[in-house]
Amino acid sequence: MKVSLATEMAPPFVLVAHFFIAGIVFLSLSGIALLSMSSDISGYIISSSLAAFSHLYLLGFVMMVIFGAMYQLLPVVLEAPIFSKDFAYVQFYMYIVGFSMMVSGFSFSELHLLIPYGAVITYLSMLIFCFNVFITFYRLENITLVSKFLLIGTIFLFISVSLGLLIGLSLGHGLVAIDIDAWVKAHIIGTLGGFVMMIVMGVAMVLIPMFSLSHGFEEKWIKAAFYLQSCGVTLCMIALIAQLPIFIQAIAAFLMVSGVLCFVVQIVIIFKQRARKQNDYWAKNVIFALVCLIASVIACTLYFILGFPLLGMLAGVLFFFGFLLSFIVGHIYKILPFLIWYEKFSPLVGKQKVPLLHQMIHTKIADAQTWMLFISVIALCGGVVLQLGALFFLGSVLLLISLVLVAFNAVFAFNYKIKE
Amino acid sequence: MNTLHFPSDAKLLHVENTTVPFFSYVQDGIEYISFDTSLCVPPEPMVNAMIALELLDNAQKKVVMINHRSPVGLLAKIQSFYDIDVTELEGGKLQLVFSYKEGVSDKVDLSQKQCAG
Repeated sequence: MKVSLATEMAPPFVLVAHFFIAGIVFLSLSGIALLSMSSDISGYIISSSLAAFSHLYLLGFVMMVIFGAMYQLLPVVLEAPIFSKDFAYVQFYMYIVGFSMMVSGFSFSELHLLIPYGAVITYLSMLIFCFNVFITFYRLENITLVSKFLLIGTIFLFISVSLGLLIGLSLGHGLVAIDIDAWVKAHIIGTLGGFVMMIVMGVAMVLIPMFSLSHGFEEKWIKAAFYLQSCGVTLCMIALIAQLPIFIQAIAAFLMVSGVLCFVVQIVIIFKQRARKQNDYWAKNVIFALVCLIASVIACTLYFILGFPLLGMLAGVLFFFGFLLSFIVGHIYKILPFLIWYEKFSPLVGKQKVPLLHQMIHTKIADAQTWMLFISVIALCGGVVLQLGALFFLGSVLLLISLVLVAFNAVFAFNYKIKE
Repeated sequence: MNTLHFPSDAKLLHVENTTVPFFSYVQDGIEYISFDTSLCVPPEPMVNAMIALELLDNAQKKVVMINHRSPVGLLAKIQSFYDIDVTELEGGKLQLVFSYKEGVSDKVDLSQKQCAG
């Protein structure tokens, strides 16, 4: 896939920076919130404190960064400008207000009435995003594999947040009689397996070959991953909501597991053919993320078979912090300096010495942060498996320190100045 | 830096603000200015290519760029101003030879660097 991160069709840096800066701020807040989650490690997933944390982390950090990355990457991948930049700004501010209300409602029982209002505002902001993406695609003539991932991922987002809104309104106002447990699971699978995973897979096929200097690799595994994952998530959501027999859910789970494994195989193939062999903080993060993704899939499969809530919680910790956090932070170290470089330093090329991307990141801090993140994930998993709140708390403290170091490096990159 | 793709008599060329070494050699009366960015991630290929193209000021010179893939963003920006021959080298790398186009190359705006590597 011969694309880069910046073209004249890309949106203004300030738009993407909105999402990235907010994502890092909410990531730091998630780290603070995690300190009080030790009592939730038993694995009961329908709890307000878990809902507060997961929405703060997923909506505030994961999806915020994904939205920013999508606005940057879509014009590059599609070779067409995003339909409306103004819509993207409106989406950003509505999204901040909406999900902040939702998280406040989940966090403080006296504010629980904010949940449906926050959900509606968040929903509308996501509809703006989906509309912006769909119209951009509508004007497109050729659709590549990466474009398909981004399009199907956005369709899953639309369906999943619609489910989320119905759940919120049903809980708050008894709008429709639903099986909350099944609908929440469908909402989680649609969001994580459908939107987040499909976007991660598509974006990975652009970023990983670009930063590893890998080319000429086969793409059959990622093509298989596309069909397996999209069919698996669709079937699973239908099976949960329509309360189909358990073997249908088992088939859906098998398809999703196969899809994720095909994705991992594809990334391993890309890594094997890379011209750039050094294992910097980016490569370490990507490798650790893939290991955690596999471990998460195993834990999730065992949870499905054995039904131990603890396994579900372990799968969540591995997926949220081992996979998503490592993968996103590793790429933030590459993408953020890249975008800042184009904004600040590209006009100086040929006129004076310009910095290289790795100089815009404090390497020692990034290395320390990376190792601390790995240790914290191991401690969090140990806390869940052994049901030791103190160990989980220790992992949370290490994770918070690691996130502070991520924020430090983001500030470092934004403030980087050429030495006289 | 890999200089396998350049002749053995290629001489190091001192050019300000590049991120990889530049080499110069003469073949059949043509001066070649060469650099290898095949182990560089964006934006380094673009940075070095723009600097090299500033030196391409007459038909007796050519610029040779070795890259790990086609620099699509760069080409989109400047390909109408130069003749560009692309050859695939062993190992999948690409060699791009930029030649001066009389009356056209002088009109390129190399001060605009907002393109992909």
